[in-house]
Amino acid sequence: MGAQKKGGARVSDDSEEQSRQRLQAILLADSFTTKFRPVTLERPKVLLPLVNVPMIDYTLAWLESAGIEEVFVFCCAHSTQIIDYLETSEWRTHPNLVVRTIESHKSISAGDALRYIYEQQTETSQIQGDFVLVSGDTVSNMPLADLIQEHRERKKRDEKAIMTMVIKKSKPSLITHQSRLGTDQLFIAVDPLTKQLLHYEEDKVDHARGSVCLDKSLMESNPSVLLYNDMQDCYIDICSPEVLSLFEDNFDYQHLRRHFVKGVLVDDIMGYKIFTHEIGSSYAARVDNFRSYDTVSKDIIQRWTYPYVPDINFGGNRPVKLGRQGIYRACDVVQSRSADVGASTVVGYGTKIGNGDRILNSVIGNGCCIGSNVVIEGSYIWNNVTIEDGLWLGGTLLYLRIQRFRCFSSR
Amino acid sequence: MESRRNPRAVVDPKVRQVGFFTSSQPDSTHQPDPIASESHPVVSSISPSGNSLSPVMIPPPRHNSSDTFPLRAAAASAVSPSSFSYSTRRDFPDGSTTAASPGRVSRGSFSKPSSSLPGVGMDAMAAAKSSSVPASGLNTVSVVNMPPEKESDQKKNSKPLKEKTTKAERRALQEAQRAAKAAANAEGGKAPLVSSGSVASTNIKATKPAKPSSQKNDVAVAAGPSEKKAGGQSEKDRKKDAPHPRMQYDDESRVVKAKRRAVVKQTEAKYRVELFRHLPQYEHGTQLPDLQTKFFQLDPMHPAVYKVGLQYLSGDISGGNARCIAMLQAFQEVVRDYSTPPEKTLNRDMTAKISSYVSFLIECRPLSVSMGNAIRFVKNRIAKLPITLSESEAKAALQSDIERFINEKIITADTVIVKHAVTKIRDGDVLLTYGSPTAVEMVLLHAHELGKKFRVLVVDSRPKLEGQLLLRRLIKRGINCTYTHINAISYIMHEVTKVFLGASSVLSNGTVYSRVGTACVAMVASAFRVPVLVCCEAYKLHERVQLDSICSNELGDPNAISKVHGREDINYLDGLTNNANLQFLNLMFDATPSDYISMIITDYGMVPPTSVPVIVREYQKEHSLV
Repeated sequence: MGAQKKGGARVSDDSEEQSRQRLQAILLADSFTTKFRPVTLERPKVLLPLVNVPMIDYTLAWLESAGIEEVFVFCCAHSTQIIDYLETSEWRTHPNLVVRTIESHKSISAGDALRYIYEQQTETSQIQGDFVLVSGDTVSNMPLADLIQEHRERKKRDEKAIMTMVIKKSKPSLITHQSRLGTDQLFIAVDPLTKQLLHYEEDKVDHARGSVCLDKSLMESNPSVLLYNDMQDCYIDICSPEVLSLFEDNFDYQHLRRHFVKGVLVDDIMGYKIFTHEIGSSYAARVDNFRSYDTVSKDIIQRWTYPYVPDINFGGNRPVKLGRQGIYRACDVVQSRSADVGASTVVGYGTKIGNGDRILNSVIGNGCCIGSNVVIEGSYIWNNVTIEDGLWLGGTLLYLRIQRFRCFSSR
Repeated sequence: MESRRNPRAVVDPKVRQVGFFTSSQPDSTHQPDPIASESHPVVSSISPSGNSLSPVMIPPPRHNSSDTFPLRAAAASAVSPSSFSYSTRRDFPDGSTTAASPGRVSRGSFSKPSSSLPGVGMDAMAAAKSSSVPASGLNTVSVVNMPPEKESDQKKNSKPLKEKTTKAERRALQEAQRAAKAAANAEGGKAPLVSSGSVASTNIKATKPAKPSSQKNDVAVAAGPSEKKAGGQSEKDRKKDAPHPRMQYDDESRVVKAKRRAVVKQTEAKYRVELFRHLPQYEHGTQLPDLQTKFFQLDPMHPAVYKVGLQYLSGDISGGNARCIAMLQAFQEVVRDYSTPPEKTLNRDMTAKISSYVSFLIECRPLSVSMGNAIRFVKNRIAKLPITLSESEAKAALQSDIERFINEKIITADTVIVKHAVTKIRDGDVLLTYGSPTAVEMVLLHAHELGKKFRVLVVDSRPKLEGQLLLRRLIKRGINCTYTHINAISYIMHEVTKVFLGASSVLSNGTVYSRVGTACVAMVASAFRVPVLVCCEAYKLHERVQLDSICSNELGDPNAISKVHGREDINYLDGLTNNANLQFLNLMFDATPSDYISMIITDYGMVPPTSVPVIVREYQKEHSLV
């Protein structure tokens, strides 16, 4: 309660001061899930290479270019690895972006993480105002400044508007009933005029019956309701400080959406409101599982995430050269004359490609050594992998590809 | 057949023969050559959709009707005994129009004026010569039709001069008569006047597209009489003199007249590019609701035709084949629901009716060459129906003819083209296509089914972005595609091994008349030494010769190019449409010179563009023999 008062007081302080506030972001460098399990046992997820660049670099580079000045990276699992990486990367000395790390080993959920940050904050008063809450596996190129401004103005008009959620029209995949990103179907209800989020249903959508239950009061209290089931939640939120205090008050909130968003929507005592912002042409996606890893990788290769593409230097990656048909090749690649590197392929630094190889729609990391007569289709091979002669790699599931990677790397 | 060919080969060099040989040779050399003589007028008649007044339509009825005429006149006079002077022109609707009896404004009565058109024209000649024409709802029709008669009556000497004078005369006459009519109808009540006006307009317009077919009819049906030959010849000469059979929209008086008659009230765009003033350009989107409300007032219009017209207008149906099939199917319904009015013959009445429908369709959107050819076919079939056939038999024959045209010339033709074109696709090919040509799409899909490994580059352009539809369908079938816009054409052409293009029509000098941008693609391809293959059904070939894309073209919605859909933030040209200093030019077609075309794939095989005239000749022959 006290915390909430404090938040309220801060907001009412002075609008000028608010606009001068530093733009801050909280980056959760842990997904608190086990979806990447065999790989994440020994490596933090945010350091997994996505088209040869650690995921966290995409997120940090985007935040930096979107005008965020200070990022709090919350590390939990494998925190030392993340901190080491950030220490050695160029983010440590970046002129426009201050990266601070917060380490906690006790957190088992996003809720715990935010509570921990909140406690830290009361001591050092780090979070000063509205902040952007993202996960460390977000790939996006959307502009944030306008969105934050919009959020602030709305907040000024309506004290209760504590959060703005970014949604994007999702492209359904034809084969599965899931979205392209492999997430469950999302069902949301939005007020078409104010864009207020009225209903959020992620898990309980009954696919078998194809039905969704809506609260009757929804219809009574709102003149019009817009229902979407083709939207994708980008997990990019503009939050007011109240969000943190809410987590603190409701210590059983664990998941950002399942508990927090639902809780806010159901709770009519506090009357907090969540708003949505739909992005049109810019890109935003979260690497949540293997399918989205595959999808986002392809989007990066096909340059939907521009300027965060392999041939442009961001976050300390070494840019590779882009040829026709989306072939990205590092300058020092040793490629046999008889090897055929086809469309939409990335080949990293120091990689050797042997005789008669065929590589298509794949990503090959740095320092790999590929033997002769290897066929690689639609696969992801990370750094320093040796592939022996005559292998055929063309998994349909990303999971299998990762497994292969593991067995090759252990060879 | 043989005999005809030989002289041709001797007389003319291969390519040039197309344009000139038709206009001068055949009449003197071989008289009874129906195809040759038939083909000339069309050469000069730049398009069947042309809006010029078409005198050509009249002769056949005259010759055919010369014997029946007295009969009809008698019948007509019996119908409307109120005025005998009218009966000469068989303007029977006079009764209905001037009598101001709205009760009679029924479907049947209205179809009459239009159907009687050819007859009217020829009768009118007589009346108009005396130039003491009584005011009537159909005066305009008779006058417009008159000059051809006159000319054909007078011999072929000093044609050009005569032409001009007759044009002027005609205009003057028409004005005078309109004034007279207005005066006469002033007391006659508003409603009948308006309706008759619209009917007349359709009639007049109908004559234009009908011209090629009627000519064919003329020649083919009554190849015997020598007087006909003379008539045909004079027409040809006249045509040669008149370079623009299409209506020139920069001729204000004509535009005003046409507008007065038009069923579809299109508002002309205000600011137009000077060079393209001769083409109609309308404010889009305004006329559709208006036309929809008019549905129940347009009595003579068959609902199926009406529907197709609206679909053209709204752009729901586009693409040469789709439009042609839609039109033919509408005509099939027309034939099915047709019943010959009393004191008429099916042949002529139905031809006139079809003509009026065609004119309506033209008002909705200018005809494509493919449609013009199809219309010509339909009219030809109607004209050649044996008189001995009963009405139901004739209708059945017509319906099956149309069905067969659709099947043979379009659907089967496409499958044959696919069969030919697929042989040109090899594994590892990178094929480029532009826009969304149906034939090419079928080729690609079929090649994919055959298991060929190739990649497709879909090049597209604003504002229609038809390529996206093609892209969607190709991707659905699992073809590896790349999508780009035409401004990247020179970049992307490096990778391409073959270019497949569609065509709206292929003209007899090998020029490919197609969606705007095609010429650019073909030129870049030929600069990169990439073969350009054009897929085009043979019924889209045309004898016309066209050297540029200015004289005959179609203008699209000017607003379409100023607006970028889905990007409100970059619509910088909003609100500038009515700026006098800014004219939008949204051309729909362009002409690709044959130099840039490697091969044209038709249902008659794969031919170089120089061989198009051969197919045109053979095709037309077969056509008339069908």
